[in-house]
Amino acid sequence: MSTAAPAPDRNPAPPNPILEVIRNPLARTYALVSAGGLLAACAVVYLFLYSVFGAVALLVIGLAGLVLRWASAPVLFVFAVTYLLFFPAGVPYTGTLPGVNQIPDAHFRFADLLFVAAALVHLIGLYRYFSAVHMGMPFEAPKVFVKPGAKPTVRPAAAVSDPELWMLFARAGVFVLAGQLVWLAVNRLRLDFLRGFPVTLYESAIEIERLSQARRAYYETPVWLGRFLLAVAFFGGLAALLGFVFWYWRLARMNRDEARAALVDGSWATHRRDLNRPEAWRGGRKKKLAGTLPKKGCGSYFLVIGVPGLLVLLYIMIVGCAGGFR
Amino acid sequence: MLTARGYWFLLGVGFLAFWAVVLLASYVPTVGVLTFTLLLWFLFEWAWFAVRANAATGQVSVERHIFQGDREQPNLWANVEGTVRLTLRLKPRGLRLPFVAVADKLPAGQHISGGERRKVGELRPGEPFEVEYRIHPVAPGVIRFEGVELRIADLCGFFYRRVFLRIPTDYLVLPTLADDEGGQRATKRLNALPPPGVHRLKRAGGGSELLDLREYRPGDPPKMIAWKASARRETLITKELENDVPVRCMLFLDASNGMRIGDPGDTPLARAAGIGAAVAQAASANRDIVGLTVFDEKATQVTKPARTRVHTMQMLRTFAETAGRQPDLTSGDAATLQRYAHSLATEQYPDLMAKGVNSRPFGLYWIPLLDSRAKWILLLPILFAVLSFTPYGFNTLTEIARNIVNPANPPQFARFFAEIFTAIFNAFFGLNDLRIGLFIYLLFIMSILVFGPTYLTMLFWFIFGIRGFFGQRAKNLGERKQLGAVFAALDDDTPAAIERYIHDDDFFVARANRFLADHHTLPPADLYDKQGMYRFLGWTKVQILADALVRTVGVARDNELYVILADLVELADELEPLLRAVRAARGRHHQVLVLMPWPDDMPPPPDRKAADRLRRKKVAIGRLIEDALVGEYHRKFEAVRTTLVKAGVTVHRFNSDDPVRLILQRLEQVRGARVRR
Repeated sequence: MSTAAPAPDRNPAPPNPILEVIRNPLARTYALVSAGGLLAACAVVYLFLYSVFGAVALLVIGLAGLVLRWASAPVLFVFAVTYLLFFPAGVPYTGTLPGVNQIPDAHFRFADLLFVAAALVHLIGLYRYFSAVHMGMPFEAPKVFVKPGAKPTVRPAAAVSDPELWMLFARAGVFVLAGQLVWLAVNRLRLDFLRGFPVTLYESAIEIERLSQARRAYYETPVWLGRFLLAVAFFGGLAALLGFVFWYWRLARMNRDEARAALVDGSWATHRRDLNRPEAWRGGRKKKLAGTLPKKGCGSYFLVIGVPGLLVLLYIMIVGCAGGFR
Repeated sequence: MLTARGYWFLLGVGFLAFWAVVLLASYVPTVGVLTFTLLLWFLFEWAWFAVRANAATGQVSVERHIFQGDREQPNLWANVEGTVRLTLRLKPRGLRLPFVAVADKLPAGQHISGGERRKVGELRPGEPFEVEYRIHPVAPGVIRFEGVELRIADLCGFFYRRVFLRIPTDYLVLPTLADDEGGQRATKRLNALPPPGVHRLKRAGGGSELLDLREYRPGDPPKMIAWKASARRETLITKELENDVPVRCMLFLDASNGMRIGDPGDTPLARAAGIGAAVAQAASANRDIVGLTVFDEKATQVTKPARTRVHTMQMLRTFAETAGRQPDLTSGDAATLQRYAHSLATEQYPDLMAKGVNSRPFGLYWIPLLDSRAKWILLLPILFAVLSFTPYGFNTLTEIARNIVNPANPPQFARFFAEIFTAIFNAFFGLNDLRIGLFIYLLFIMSILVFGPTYLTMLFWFIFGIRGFFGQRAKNLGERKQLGAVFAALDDDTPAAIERYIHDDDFFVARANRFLADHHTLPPADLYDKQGMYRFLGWTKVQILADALVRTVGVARDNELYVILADLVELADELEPLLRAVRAARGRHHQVLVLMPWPDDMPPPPDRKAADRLRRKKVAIGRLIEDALVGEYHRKFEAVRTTLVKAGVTVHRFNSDDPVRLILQRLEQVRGARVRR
């Protein structure tokens, strides 16, 4: 009886994606978290919007993302939510549109809180699941240089620590509340550039209603514009502030090489025009003496002689057509 | 850095947030709440990632240990597997990095024989993060570990940062350590030969073999009196014994640029160093004396002959250092070097290539009209302005105006446009009068005539300049500027150097060569220039080698063996100084052996079958070129060999036979030779 070890299979069968997820504790955990958030979101849609189609559609998109590792699924989920909230029946029928002015009482609604929390947990879980099974880091090289079949870097298959998991839920809760607060602020603050301090509170829901109409005075800022400007100011200001802090932090932590490079580059940017001319002249002369200057083609002659000549000709034609040579 | 995933998330949610704020808020506020929540979460993820990455990147310490034979080694041995252990550690009380990918940069020319040089995991403060893999250096030289690549990402894959921790460390790879006998027997093989380490010299000395008898001189020791011979001759006769001296072998190692060209660890110099090291160890094990002279195009470095263990180790070290020398190139194709250097800088100097410290302003790409031959076009507006004020120009303008404002007989072209202007004016103001159209046309034409040259010149200037933003020129210019800034920062140079790197190809090529050589990543060099001349001829090395040989002969005591490991194939016409030195050596009964490297892909001279095999694989034109190249190389080799053989030198190739055995056999011959001086 032969005791030789079997030869290794040169073309092993690709691993079963489902089994791979089940065996990977990290992917398993986040798949369950994401699926839980998805089910909760679907339940809210079904119970509060009475939309069976909406619930099923969201479930299909979410599960497609989980099972097929479809990287576009999270963004598509948000778009689908928007569409289904607008048209709960799934068809663009204006009779199903919700009431026009829901703004005044659109804060801290129980259904919103539940739905946003569930959707946020689903999305966080889904993205972390992708980092565990699909791609955690992008390829360093441009796509054309990536070898076919190269595996992207994913998080190692280790058990998720309890703090990481609980922090996920805690963060979701905090951001749900923070989102409500920002939404409330953006809708309750009024922009009035005629006042000394342009930001005030709307006096009442009637005022909001009035400023939403086209019949408002021309100098009054419409509600949507005020809301938009406040949102841009809030998010843009926050991003700019954080960006400035991190930029300064990186400046403060530069190593010696980076600092030297920054100084040399700054000085070069300042004096570039002065430095360019002698060096360009020197380099050009060296090339000319070495005979390595590129040979001038017909395009060069056309550009230098043809185009200006055509311009002059055009000018003469204009003069001629205008009767200047009569 | 935002990943594609983060970019698409931000774009999608930002788009929805915009519509939620502007339009949908009144109908479905939930969308606004959801998108605001998602944006806040995204901002938090970014901030948290930036905090972690900024705080951690300066706090990572790296230790690298290399083990061979279960012991940490300051140097490596060739052909012995070594384990590289890398330990990263975040400073205590810092923030953890939950998702990092660590990759050690593998030295050029090395391959992994086990383990993984990449590892993904979590970097916790104070806890070691270890990466372990095995390498198997095959040739002596220097291997350089550049540093560690650290890639950091957040848990959702939105953000990503790559840091390269530069910790350049050079390790000497010493030639393979032979056993105590150097692979040779340390005992006598033939009784006719003296013991190892001893060479009989037919000169009176303190040996054991009888050399001659002579008459007694006062002062001769009594024990040296040959009593029987004295009795026969009836006078005192003294015995003279042979002199026992060690055999000396002097190695001459060519370290010129031509020998350094090739893949790391696979250069002719590395092979020559391997041969020399094996010979040195074997000879030392046989108690022979070995010395070394390393020469190149400029200088020599001499290790005096000795036979101690320390001396052998010193020689191995010299061999390794010499084998690790990088080509000292000053020429090359600027575009090729730029491509290699830019890739290297992007990989290993991401901090110096970042936009914040290495900018590429728009003005860099703009092609200034004034610096070109088309600058004369700027004279056009001035010329037309001057012409307008000459009598002819003034009359022309007046004539145009007169013709246009004459509604009775306007030019046909003017009438066409005037009717269009009139129709437009009529539509808006209800005035249908051709004179109005003619007047508008007059204003239009006069503005074109007066400002037209300026408009056209500005258009030309714009088109001329904007071309610089497109095509290969823009790519090359941007890369050259970035590399120039990196070089200037590394050399502590002035900003003017950046401009010089951009415009002066020779200056750039010299620095790029040095940059690549420092990192052991030189591109394949062109061995021949456009005129077909060998670029690494190094003819001065012949004179330097000859001088070194003459100096060695000058201090030689006995018939010695000189082994020259040098590339002389392309120097067939320059060998006269070497021939003179060889004749001097041969005149003193020294042996000279020349070993020359041979390209791997070059069939050996007598082996025509191999050449035919190679030839059959090629297409016709390739076969012709290859025939010409191979034939030329063989011709040169034969010329060198013939010239040297005539002078009494034995010439071999590195790959002709076992060169180490060849040299040792020659040493045995030298040991057995009896030469009277």
